[in-house]
Amino acid sequence: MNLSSRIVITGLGVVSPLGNDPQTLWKALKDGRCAIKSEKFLEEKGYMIPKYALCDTSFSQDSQRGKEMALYAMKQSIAEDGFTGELSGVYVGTSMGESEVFEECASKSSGSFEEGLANRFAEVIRENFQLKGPAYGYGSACAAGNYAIGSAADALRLGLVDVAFAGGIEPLSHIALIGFIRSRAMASGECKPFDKVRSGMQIGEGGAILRLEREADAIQRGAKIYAVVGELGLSCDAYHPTSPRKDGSGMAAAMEIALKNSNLSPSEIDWVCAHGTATLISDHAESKALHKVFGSKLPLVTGFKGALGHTMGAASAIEALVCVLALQHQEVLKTVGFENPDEELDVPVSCKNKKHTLKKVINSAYGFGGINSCLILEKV
Amino acid sequence: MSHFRKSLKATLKNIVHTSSQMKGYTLVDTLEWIESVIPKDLQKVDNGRSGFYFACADAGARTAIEFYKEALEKNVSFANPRNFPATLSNFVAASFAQKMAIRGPNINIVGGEECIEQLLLHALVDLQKGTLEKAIVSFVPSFLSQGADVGVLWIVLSRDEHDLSVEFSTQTDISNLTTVQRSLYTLLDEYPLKEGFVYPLKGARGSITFKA
Repeated sequence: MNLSSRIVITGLGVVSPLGNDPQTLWKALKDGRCAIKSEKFLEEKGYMIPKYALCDTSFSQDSQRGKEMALYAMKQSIAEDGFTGELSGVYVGTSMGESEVFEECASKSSGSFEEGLANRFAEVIRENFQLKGPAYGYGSACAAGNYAIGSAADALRLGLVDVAFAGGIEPLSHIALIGFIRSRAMASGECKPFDKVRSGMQIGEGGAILRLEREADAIQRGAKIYAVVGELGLSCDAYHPTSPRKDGSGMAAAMEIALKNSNLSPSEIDWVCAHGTATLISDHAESKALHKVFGSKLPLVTGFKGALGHTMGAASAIEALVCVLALQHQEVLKTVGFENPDEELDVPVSCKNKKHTLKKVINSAYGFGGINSCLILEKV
Repeated sequence: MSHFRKSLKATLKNIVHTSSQMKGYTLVDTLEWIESVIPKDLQKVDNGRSGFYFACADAGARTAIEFYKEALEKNVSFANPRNFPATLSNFVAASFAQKMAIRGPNINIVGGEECIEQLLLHALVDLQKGTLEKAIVSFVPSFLSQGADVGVLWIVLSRDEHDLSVEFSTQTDISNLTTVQRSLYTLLDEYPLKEGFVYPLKGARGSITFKA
């Protein structure tokens, strides 16, 4: 066993508000589409902001939505060759789990909520695909996908599993919608990451599952390799239940740890796939963090939540998949919703699609509780 | 990734069990409980190089149900958002970190006892990478004990080049981890958990070795 193994991505699966396969999602993002819209069923329930970025879940068999998404994304991740390995682990992040189970329990004032717990997505994948390794659920708020992918990569480096399936799943959640609306974190209009007139986020649902292997194993079996998974940097603000540290120091620490553990300098990062929720406070803190790490030489920055909504625990998994596609296409996409640069943030936000040499990129994700994560992804 | 060596080692400082009554499932109830179960010697641990690794089977679940029930009763447009952060499964882990001023990794795994091994692994990997000096592993079996005591298992690991005593082999076989898990349970069987009792583990520094 070589503990310095490079870890690579050999399979991609996604369910997103802009398409249920990587190619469709990439094209929609490239076309600048936005999936966030008013939903009649939410209006009828009386929501003040009845908007959501929903997925087409016509593949669902009326089972619980999140589990169906997990299985659908998992199927795609092995579609090319059906390979699941001898000893395969599953690592799935989410902020809350299968919210509809908790909502049903609340509506009926009874019932079992075990099926809603955040580890069930990983377990359902393991059960359905008869995998023999461990299955862990990472409840890491809106950064959960990055946590799961980083944990899977470490398990592979340590030789604990031969193949790892990792990502994030977050189905429609009325609990989250109420929470964010009533916390005044939602924009009544568009979601505009890093824009001068940004006024908040919009939420969405979705999920992504990536297949990870040690590079030597993948080469040996002739697998298609999409990208290399680098280091995951983690930190915690230890500051406030919902707000980040205003100086962005916690977010910066996560980026710095990822760079340090990868023996990279900031100048080697070609692009940042930002968290970019479009809330005043979070985007401001993120800009501070970017300036702290990169100084005056910031790489291009894109935020995808104006297009996809904030898919919470799934966001960083979907965005990691978009990073992989960007590395493949050697192209940085525009930030949907961004129109007016904010001089105070002074961040070079990508405002049009642009061919760009991409070797190493950072996927940033931050969450409630002040948890910060930055995952490095590299071109093969 | 040259920072990985053949094995992951750290010093096991102590294992502590604390518990306190959980009055309810609001954000305030949860914060009160958190404050009451932090061992005295861990109340402010951070020097910028500590991490917190937490697992529980159902953190946030009951709060999520109660939050939605209240929203339905009041109308979704008038729901009180104050308990919303506590509906997320990482609220407890993040709140522990805030109270203890731990600014390193904050990992929250959802699940039962089987997660202890994964928490230990995360802690050991981070200690091994050299970015941390101390890792605090914490496990709560369940929060479904309103009105009763909810217990926490604390395992503190430190990076210490001169006294390496908790060891994962990192070769090829997942049975190594199973061995670690068994060892830990044996340890817990041997020392029945009592509130606030510190287990010295055969000496001041690193007296137990988990070896495959």
